[in-house]
Amino acid sequence: MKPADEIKRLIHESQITASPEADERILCGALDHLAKRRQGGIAHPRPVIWRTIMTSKGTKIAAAAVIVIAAVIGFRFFGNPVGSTLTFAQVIQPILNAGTAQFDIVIGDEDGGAPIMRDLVMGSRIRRTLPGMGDDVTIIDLEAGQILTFSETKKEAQYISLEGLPSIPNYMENLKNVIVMLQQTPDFVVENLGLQEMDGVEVVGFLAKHPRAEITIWADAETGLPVRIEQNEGQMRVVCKNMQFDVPVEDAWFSMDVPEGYKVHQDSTLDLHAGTEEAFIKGLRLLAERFNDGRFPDGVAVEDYLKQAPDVARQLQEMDLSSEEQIALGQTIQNYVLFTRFFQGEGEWTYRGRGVMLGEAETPIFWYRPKDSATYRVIYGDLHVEDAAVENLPEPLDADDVPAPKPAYQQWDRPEFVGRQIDYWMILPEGRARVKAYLTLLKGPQDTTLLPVHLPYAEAPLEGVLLGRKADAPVTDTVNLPFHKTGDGTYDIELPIDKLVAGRNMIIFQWHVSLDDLKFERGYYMTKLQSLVPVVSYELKTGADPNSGFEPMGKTQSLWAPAFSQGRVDSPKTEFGTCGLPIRKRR
Amino acid sequence: MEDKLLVYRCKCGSQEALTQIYRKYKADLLLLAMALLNDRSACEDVVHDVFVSFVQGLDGFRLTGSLKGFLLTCVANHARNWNKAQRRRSRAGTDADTGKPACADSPTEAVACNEQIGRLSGAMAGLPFEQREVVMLHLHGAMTFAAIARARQISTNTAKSRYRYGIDRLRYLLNGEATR
Repeated sequence: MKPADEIKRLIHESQITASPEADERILCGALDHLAKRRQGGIAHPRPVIWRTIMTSKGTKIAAAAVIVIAAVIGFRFFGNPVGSTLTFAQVIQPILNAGTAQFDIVIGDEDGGAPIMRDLVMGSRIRRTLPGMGDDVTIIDLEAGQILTFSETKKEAQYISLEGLPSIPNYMENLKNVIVMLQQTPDFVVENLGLQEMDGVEVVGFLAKHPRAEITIWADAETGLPVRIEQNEGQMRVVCKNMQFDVPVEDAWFSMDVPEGYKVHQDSTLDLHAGTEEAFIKGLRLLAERFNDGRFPDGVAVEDYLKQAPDVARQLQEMDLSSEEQIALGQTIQNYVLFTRFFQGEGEWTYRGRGVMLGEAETPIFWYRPKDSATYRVIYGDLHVEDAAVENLPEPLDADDVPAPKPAYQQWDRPEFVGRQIDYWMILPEGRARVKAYLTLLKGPQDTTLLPVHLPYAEAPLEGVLLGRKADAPVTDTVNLPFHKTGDGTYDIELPIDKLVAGRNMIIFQWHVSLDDLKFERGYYMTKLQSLVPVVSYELKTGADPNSGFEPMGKTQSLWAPAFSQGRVDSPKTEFGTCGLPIRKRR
Repeated sequence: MEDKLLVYRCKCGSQEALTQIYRKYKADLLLLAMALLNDRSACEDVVHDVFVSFVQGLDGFRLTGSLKGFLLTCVANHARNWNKAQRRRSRAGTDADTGKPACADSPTEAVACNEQIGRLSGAMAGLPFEQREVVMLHLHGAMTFAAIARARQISTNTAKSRYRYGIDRLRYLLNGEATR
């Protein structure tokens, strides 16, 4: 044993504890001094937002995420022309035809000091500068998935690899493809907002709606050139303004080669899929613990982070952190920002963390519904997470969370009808099932009023067709629609187009099926899953009449038990396979 | 990085950050103070003064090493000052010895010690202060002799010899061994 070992052990075993009163006595003097120091005012000047962000290595990394993700937004969704002197097609034509473009991008509230990014676009490359930030330049190569960022003053440069971004050979060309694709989307509609005055110029506006985004585009009423585009995608707002098309550019402005004499920093990677729930929670903890006195940030959207970023940057600079430490912090913040920017859940997320202290285990601060999940994930103030059914959410869904009304029926230049369908199978006495198919028509051809439908069982004749008032609501006001048999299980329905266009686009079909006509396999009556027309979503639910001798399987408090559900499909279709009806003989 | 962030937040006036620093290191600081002074009231006062000085000096403070090492050195400094002042008071006869055992509990003393610290501080009291602090900073604070030497403005060899004499004396006091 070494001479000091015994002493060391004694020190190790020595314990001294202070009671809360002693803690208070010991700390009171220091806390008083700190309070006086605070009252004395340690004012931090609020510098130019981008300058502060970009001079800190940590926030520069996080800012890179913001800078890059803005590159793939701006204009993504445009649509069909609607009646107007100046049509939507005319308004988007300069965009479709442009070889190059220049515009300013603002994320968040324009009047709230949100920073501006200035873009020059040519082919697959974007040259992005930050007004007020001197000579920092970012070149984004959307085809190669790479970014070059450099400073002419500092003679420093860095390459950042983008992961998770599909290769985009030509930005403008890609926009055209997106537009064409969206024009074929059943749910896509365009509204004419009419004439308005903006900065002394008369402009005409169009609102293009898609389930995942809303785009408002404003064009000069005289020249027809777009001047401003506003996009609400998820819970992020982006404005493109000061737009110019076919501006003269030089290839050298978009070069991905580092100029000679520049110091090149180690490459880094920006993974756009790194914004997981876990990364989000890690970022929340970091921002609360390190930068906000234990409180959660006021907001968690990209624009909220941009407001907070200068403070974070300033604090990082004053902390004397090593380069590695700053990079680690920056990456944590970057992945946190990506979570809400590329939100992968269903619907909207809700944040209630403002003013909440880290550790408040009973206070829910954030909740969202993951993709394809029936339940919500609720994050609490101590950052533990629980699953919750919609009825157990901390707050009922408010008006903003309620899904927007379904768009009315629209005509398009394709020959087929497209809709959504829910089938309700009610098992009746004597081994029969009454089927009611609720078809909501979304789009249809311009040159016909006949809707051809194909029933799944030719031996089960169509008994009646009703036109409902609106989709997904109780049918209180219905109109019988005439129909004609055209073949085995096929019928033509006569459509009142004017009523469809006015929003009465739900049609109810009824027929009966004998359970004996269904295959019985492994205890289930198997049924075809086949919609009447191509649909973008399809569901089948079953119920059982108390006198039928059957009952639903499993525990269900609803009259209807879900048997099959297929949410949004990429392209409309009619065949969804087969499924067993979740019913059994009553015990 | 954790400590740098806490210091930064203190600089920004965060009482919570200061409290976090205190909670994180209070056991180490109180133990050192107790081992050096063998007086619970005094150890409480010393740690109190260390934190007040820490806050007062925040403006020019820059953390280059470990925060724990810095605070332990501060405790040792303040303990030495307290020790000197105590000796002056004793010489002047202004602070009569009450004969109170070092670890006796009283209603106002809420710093609690276990038996081992009673043995440790009792034995430490038999060492010159200079030896106590080197022994404690090295064994408890895990500071190198070079770092202690820099903090005490003595040579590394002096720090080492103080440590060696201190250990020998402590072993004697604890085990009754003969000193060499």
